[in-house]
Amino acid sequence: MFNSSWILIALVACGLGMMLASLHHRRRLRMACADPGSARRMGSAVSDLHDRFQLEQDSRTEEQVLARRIAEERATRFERMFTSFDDPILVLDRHGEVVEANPAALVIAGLDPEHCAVDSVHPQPLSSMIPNQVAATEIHTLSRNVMESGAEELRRSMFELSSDGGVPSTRAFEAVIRALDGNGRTLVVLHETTREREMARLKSEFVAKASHELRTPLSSIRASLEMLSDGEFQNLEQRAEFLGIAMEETDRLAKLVNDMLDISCIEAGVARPRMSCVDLGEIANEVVGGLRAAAERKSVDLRIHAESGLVVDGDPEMLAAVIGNLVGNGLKYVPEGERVTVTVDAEDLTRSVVVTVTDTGLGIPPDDIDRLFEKFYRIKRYERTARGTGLGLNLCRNIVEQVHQGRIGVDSKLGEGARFWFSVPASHPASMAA
Amino acid sequence: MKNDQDNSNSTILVADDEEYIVRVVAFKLRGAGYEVIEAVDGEDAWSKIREGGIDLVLTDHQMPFMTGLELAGRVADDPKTAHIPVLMLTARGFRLDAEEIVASRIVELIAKPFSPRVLLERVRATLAQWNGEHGMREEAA
Repeated sequence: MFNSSWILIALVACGLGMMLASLHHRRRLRMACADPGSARRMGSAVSDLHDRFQLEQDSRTEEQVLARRIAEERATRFERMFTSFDDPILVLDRHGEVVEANPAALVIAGLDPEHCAVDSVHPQPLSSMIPNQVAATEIHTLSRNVMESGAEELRRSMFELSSDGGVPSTRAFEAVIRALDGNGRTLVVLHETTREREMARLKSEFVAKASHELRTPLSSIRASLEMLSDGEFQNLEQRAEFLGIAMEETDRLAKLVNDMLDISCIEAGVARPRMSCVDLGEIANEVVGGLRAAAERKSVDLRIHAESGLVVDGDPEMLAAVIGNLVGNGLKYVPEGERVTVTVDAEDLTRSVVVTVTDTGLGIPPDDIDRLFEKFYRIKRYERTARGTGLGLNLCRNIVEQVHQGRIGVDSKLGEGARFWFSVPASHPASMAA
Repeated sequence: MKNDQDNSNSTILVADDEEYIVRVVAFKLRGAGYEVIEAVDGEDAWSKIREGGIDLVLTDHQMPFMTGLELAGRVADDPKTAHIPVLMLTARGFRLDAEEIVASRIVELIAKPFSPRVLLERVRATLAQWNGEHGMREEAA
């Protein structure tokens, strides 16, 4: 009897417990199970089992909710990253059709990102997304190779697209293709290389021009030395003439190499100017003093109007080189009997010191004015008037603008002379006092 | 000093905007017995060639107003000057366009810096070959 009642109680308790468990919270279940005396232990064990089950159930649900939220947030974040990339990105399916395209990709396809979507419901042929049929075909082939090889792979392809808006220039791209998933999808990222290409072009142009400028004096030197060595010269006068050419051209070559080095150091930001308080009037006077003999030889009237005490923070040697270049150019290019005038003034409005070199020479053709400060640029009309490295004005611009945060320019009309000028910020009054 | 070649009385036009190059080349060619006419740029050269009496043109490429290639093209295109061989000195850092060279019918390119000795040899060889062909054509006519 004891046994059967015990079992019955246990069954009732158990059934009750299970029933309640399905309806009530565990605290209430405990209360319901509290009464049946000796059945308590058994009921409690069942309850604990259930509790654990419920807890697991709850935490799993919480985890799932959390995981779903994380996944959703992640998807939103990735969606934003995908749409905000400046590089066009495409996803191709196993047939090579475009099933995803970010706005940058839509733009190069000539589509409006606001009103156009590309997805697996609306796939687009690759040829309509890349308006360069040769490139589209190549990328299609590469992506198939990547897909078939199974492993993630990287393939590169270079191509050009005509830029829109009627601008006659092209945009260069490099396509990077990777396997994306096990369903044969591939990811195509188009990285724009237009700027790199332009930099490479400028560099190659500079090297070509520099090579020409270096070989020219080298030619005269080599030819003079060979003829000297072959005993071609009949007398001392001829020998002196060609040795003179070789020496002059050696100096020109050395100056060219120095100018190239100075410019490249400034451009690369590795120039080490020795900055100090510099009286620009004083420097201008020194430079003009040094060039007076050359001016007299050419019968050029060289004048200077420079106030003293106009101080700037600068590298005295570099600033002297700028003034020397500008005055030297004036002396080289003006006809005999003309005038070159140097002035140094304060400009209150911009709190700077301005140096101007004005000449009464032939002036500069309007087409040449904007390009005058370019490396190796020469005014054709005056090419034979004077010899130089073709780098003087570019070096001046680098010294003034990059090293001294100043400005440099030229005003001229053909037939009315030229006025070259540069301005450098004046020293702070405290540093002037020091 | 007269040279021992048949073409010693030939007249050569030397065109370069670099004064010292012209002086060096002219000195070498005159020393070998040639008559030398100097030109300071492409246009100057073209006007002197059209005056007549030039047997060979030795020109720089990079010159103001008209490049050496343009000059050679004009010489080749004008029936009055098409018979004149053109040799070109060049100091350009990059290769000249092959099609342009073919179109200009330049006989030979000589890179700067050059050897005046080699330059003279090329001038002699070109004149000898040119005169030979010219002579044969005249005989055939």
